[in-house]
Amino acid sequence: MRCTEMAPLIQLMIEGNLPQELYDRVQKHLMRCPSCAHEAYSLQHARDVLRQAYGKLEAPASFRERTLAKLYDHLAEQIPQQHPAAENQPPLPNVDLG
Amino acid sequence: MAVMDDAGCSPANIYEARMVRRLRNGDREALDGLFDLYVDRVYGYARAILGNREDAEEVAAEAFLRAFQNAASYRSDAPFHIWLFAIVRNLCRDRLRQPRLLTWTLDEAPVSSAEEEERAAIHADVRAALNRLPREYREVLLLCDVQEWNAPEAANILERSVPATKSLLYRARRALRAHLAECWSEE
Repeated sequence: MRCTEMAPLIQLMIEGNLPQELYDRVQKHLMRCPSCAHEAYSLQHARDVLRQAYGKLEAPASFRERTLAKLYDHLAEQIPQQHPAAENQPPLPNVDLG
Repeated sequence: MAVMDDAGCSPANIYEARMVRRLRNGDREALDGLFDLYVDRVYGYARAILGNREDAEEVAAEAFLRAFQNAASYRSDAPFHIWLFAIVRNLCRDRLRQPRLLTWTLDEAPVSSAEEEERAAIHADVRAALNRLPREYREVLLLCDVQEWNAPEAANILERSVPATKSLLYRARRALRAHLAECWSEE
């Protein structure tokens, strides 16, 4: 594996999307190549701190309630008039969602 | 707009399509389901881009309203959430063009220990570094690295091809790393 091949593989690795066999080959290359190792681990670090800095922001409960109330109002006002024949549409297929 | 690959046929997307069809028929449970599915991500994205709670709440509420108002006429091959997030993105862009009196910061959580204080300082550095990047870099980093949309999904939201989105993400990550290195080498 050559350094010139590494850029897209490093992207896939830090996203966790490398197949195991390819991951092992990339890791072997990184152990032998300080330049590629720096590229990979510094990008991984930047991605990690970005995720930590923003985290999983949850919508405030008050916002949820207000917005849902508006959406319910809209649903009550518009949807039935727009689709009076909705009950005539074909049924949806049953899908096993696991 | 990029073409969805197999991600468009995932069980989650099939479930979503079913909810959208029920929503068109006026099903309140479907509305609840779609709202719960995306409210945190919609709000989180708007909050990260806009930097404050008030603007994020207004944009997120408007995005849901527009998406649900037009759900009846939505006929694209792309999943509903791609459309919803494209609306969020465009509303954020519009909001950023408006004159602003508010400061460009994400609200800080109160800190109670030296460790938390240090962590908060690092997070502030990261947010400052992100805000120094071009808008398209910020968008792709937040979509892919924070919100974990995959490349085809982000490509649809950003209205780019998948290769262009991957290339943009690569450049954005390198730019963020460079800003962080610059910031932290000065300390």
